[in-house]
Amino acid sequence: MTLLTTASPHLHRAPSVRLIMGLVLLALVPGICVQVMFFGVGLIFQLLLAACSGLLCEAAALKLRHQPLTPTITDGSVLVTAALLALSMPPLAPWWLIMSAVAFAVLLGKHAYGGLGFNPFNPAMLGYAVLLVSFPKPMTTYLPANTVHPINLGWMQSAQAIFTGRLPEILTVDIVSAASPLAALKSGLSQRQTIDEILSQPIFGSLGGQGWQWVSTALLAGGLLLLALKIIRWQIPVGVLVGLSLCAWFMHQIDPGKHADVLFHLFSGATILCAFFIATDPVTAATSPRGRLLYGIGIGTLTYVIRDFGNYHDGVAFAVLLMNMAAPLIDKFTIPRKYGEAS
Amino acid sequence: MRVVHYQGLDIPNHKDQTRNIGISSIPASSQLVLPLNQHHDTLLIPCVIPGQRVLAGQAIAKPAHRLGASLHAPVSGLVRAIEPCATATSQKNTTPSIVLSNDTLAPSVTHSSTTPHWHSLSSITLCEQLASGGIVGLGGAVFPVATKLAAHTQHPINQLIINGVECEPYISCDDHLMQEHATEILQGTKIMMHACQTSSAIIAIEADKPEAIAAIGNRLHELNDNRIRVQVIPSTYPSGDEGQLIRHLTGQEIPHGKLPAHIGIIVSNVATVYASARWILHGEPLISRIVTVSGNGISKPGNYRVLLGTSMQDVLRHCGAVFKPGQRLIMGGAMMGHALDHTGYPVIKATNSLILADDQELNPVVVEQACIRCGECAEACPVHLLPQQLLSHARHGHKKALQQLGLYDCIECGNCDYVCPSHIRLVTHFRRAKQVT
Repeated sequence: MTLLTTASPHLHRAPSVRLIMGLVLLALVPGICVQVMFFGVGLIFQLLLAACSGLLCEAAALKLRHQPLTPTITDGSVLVTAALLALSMPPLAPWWLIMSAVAFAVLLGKHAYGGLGFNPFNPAMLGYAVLLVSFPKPMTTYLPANTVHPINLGWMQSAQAIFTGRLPEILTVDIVSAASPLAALKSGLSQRQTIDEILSQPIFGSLGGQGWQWVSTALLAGGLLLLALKIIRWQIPVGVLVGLSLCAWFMHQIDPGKHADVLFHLFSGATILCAFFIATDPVTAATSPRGRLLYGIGIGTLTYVIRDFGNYHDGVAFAVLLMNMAAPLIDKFTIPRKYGEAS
Repeated sequence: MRVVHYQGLDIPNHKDQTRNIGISSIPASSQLVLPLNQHHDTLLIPCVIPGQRVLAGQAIAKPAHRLGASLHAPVSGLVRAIEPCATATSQKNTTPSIVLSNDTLAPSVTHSSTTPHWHSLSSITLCEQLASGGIVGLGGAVFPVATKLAAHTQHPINQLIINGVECEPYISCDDHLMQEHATEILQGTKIMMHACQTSSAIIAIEADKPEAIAAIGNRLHELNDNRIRVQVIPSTYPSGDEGQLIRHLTGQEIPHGKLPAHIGIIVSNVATVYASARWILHGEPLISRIVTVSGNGISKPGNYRVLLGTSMQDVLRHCGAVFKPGQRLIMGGAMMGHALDHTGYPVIKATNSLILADDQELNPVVVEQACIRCGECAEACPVHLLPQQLLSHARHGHKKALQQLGLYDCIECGNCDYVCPSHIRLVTHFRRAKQVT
């Protein structure tokens, strides 16, 4: 008769890492669907390419590190990284772009530091930033929403564009170079147009860019689901949104002709994706409740600063990476008051 | 009052197996083993010698200081030996123990020294009287009650809290004690109030014990003593922890590194209060206690009055234990109890519960995955530590950082383990780190 002598506690109930990652992926589904509705099936290819290369890279890295494949490869974290990267890419970006981004994220962003839990930088944003700096042109070439130009690329045409780089005849140079909302804003401002003039272009909608505003709304719904399920806590999303909104509001008050309003910033670019899905990566964020709020505010503020004063259209990736660097310091200065400690 | 947003965890309480079963007694074994390290402080000094005959209720070992607690013979019989034996609290080492054979002849307890006029005693004399009855904290910490109550000579006590919360899963011995012995618990409360010179007592009971709340409430109503009141506590874990209970009831926190007496509060378990009343009013020293025997390996679960020194083997046999491979025998609750390596240990004053269960009921230990710093552990921590940070410093042996982050404030309640999605055995890491640093 042998008795097990395991240490207390003897009860345990928590969602597993796999379930958490699965729910994050599930919460991305509305955003993915809406993006496919407005911008075609290119995203599906990006997702598949990202997932396959992510799993391959993870397996290779584990092999090189002499680690067992399970449970790491099945924890779902690599799929989340892959999905976030795919959502950040232009839907018709060439295949090697997403694959290099994922490879960089998984191999150097994650496993070079010791795998999940030990990486100081958000792997997806690291991969994205490297590619954005290295290949700025394909990383910023977007098609307009199909509500602006009635173009609906099918599966074959999308595949052709992604794998061979050849676009169908119907797409004129004019249409292809139709910029993303934030890029159009930047180039408009550089041509000394006012905000009102810029936003009267057909690619803009009432909140942000045509199509993109609904993608953001769908992502927001998914993000709120994660909040409701307590998979993420409120401090980081609120911090990001508040940080960005305050900056946008302040600058818009100063000169509404040169600085877009709060809603435009919230619903354009990767704001919502960042607030609920990217910045909330717990591994690379600050950890105490107060720390997370500061961390979020930092990301929101930096995003605005880069968008408004920097050379890049969107600042999310750089803002996240910069705050990743600051996270250990934030942790050091935001240790919560312990029980029995004087306040 | 401090505003603290801490709610505790809603953990399945597993109390249904024993909740509706009244207290019954387990017959005395032919041999009892009484370890001399019962009381969480220095070893007791035996005052009998091998070969000596003793009567039930006779003191057989004395504390090193006058406010400790004595140890008494649970049965009449012969002192067989005073020899090292293995005990449940120190499974690796042996402890000097008094081995007593039961001659089953003498009366169960000698009613030697009742103290009906305890009101007229000085508080410190009453404390000494409780020490001589072997009364210790029966919630699990087994701290001598006299030492605790005598703190009133240095710090005036304005609030006595009687802890009937019993938040640990499985355990229902205090619940049944309150249901069946409300009178003695209220008598004991009054005795303790006199011993620590306070005029206010709160009996705290968790909301999931309506029968106990009613029993104490009814008796209190009959007693018509407005110095004592019942307060219902939300049933979350670990609401019965001393520090958590004080914060919930008074809004105060025990200052870092201090005892509750420093803020004028003493907390005592209901079973301790009951034992005090039995000793002062009926002359029955602490020679038995109520033990919850439960778990899916037990065919007759319930609350049993067990004589100290009874082998756990006998208790389990009486309760119809069915042994299978892969079971755990836990002394204490499922969150903080120790899993024992065999069944031969004697029941001691700290044995509030024995759980025999397998992985269908308890959670199996699975492979730890990497910490994803999700922070759930920090949300669940009742003392507001950052377990995820402590873990990484514990792994790297950063002593200074561990101290800054409050490693020694950890009460080992197990909440962090309970909520960890990576199945990390945080408390185990922290226990190890405490030993090293």
